[in-house]
Amino acid sequence: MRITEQGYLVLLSLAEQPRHGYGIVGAVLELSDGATKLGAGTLYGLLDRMGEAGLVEASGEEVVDGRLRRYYRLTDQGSAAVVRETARLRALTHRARTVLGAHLAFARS
Amino acid sequence: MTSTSGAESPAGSADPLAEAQIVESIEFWMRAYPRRWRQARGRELVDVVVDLAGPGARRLDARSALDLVRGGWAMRWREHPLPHTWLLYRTFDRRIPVAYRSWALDDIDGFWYPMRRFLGGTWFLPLMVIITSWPRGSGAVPPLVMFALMVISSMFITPQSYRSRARLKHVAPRFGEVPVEGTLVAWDVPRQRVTARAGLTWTTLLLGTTGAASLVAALLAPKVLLTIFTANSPNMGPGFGWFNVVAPIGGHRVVAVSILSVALGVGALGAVAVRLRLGRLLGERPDQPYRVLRPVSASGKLGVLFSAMIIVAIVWLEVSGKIVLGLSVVPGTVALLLLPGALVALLVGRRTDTHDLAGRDVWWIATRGRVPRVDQPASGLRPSPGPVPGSVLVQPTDPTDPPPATP
Repeated sequence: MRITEQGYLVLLSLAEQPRHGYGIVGAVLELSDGATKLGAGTLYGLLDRMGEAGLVEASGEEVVDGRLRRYYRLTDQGSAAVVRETARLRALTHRARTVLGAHLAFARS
Repeated sequence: MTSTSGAESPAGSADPLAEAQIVESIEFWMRAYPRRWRQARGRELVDVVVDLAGPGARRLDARSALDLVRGGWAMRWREHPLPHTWLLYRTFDRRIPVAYRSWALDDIDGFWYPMRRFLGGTWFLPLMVIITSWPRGSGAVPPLVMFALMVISSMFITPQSYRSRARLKHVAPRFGEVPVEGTLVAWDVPRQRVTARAGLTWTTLLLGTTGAASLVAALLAPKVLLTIFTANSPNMGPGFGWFNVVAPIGGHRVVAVSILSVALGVGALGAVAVRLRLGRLLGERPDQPYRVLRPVSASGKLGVLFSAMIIVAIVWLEVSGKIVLGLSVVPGTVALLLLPGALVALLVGRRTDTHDLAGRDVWWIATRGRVPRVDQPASGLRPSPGPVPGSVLVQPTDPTDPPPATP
């Protein structure tokens, strides 16, 4: 399964601890510095696809203030995927810095 | 568990009316999701959307509504069968592969399933040709209108047993397949019958409308189709032949009125027999342990109203001279044959204690003059508890078992 930016943020939010749907939306908003506000339709589409791919799983549910909360957590496969994706992004960032450094040096000369 | 949830969710709404309104709004937009998904996850999704909307919100904003619709249709698209699989299923009723059984269950239980099946099949084409070539006067019903009427009719003429057969064929596992938890397996369920009172009320309404409308058509229709036999046909040249002409009805009106009157008379005689049979056999009915009675369904009522509308439309076409008299006489004859018996049965049912009487019992007694048979259980589906040890497997309950003792 190809991991999109939104999917990556969801996986990252679950890396810290199991969360329910509303908790994931809040964590993603925080992780993206306010740039990504997931809608419920988008979130549950991602959770369903990641569940089918074995990256996340339900870890329990409870009722709080009359609201049903189902919690999701990363599987081992999901943890490996988020680590792999983070490494890929780190390598990309490194390459981007190299390219931009050369570009800025060229512009100054 | 609450300490691990991350973002704290807002507390329950302080305004229950506002919350009820927004839940209604969310449930409306959430219909984009497949029915089965809504049943399994709907409540969870609604609660998250309510929290995201914030306290006091009464309606879902456009962005959130669009997000739900997009998510729902994306879900439908993901689980939809591949084109060739879908085509074989829809057109030739080929059994759906295991991966799409859940989709098929939603499809079969869907409100528009009869129409989808009708459009997917091809058997209607010859029927359409026959009906659109029906002899007519000027201003005939356009074939497209006739086709549209047939498509709409498919929603009402398809019996409910059609769905249960489709469920068993496409969704239930066959011998040799390993059931896993949640697999829908065949199970004996009580057979559903419509109560006599409700069934007869709606039947009488339809028969009465049809009979009265056909009598009006027979009395007022201005045109009739005549077949002229001749030794020299205008189309075929010399030799024996015949041709049809649309002519003023004249004395032929008597024929149509006579047919309907005789039908009503025979029906009245039949009603006497129905009255005697019901009086003799109603008290001798056997117990029906495998049966549950229900009122007429919404689709059944819509079917009656739609059929009555079709009859009235045909009569209007005949009376206004757009088509010749004939199409209404056939259903009118059948209706007038059955109407007196149905009325008598309805009156008998209202006078006596028949709360456990099914419409089918009345039909059986009236037409056969014998005590109705005991219904056998129907085949239904229910989720399998999964491959668990036999000692803990939930055994099917027999409808004849006594209810569990209460402590």
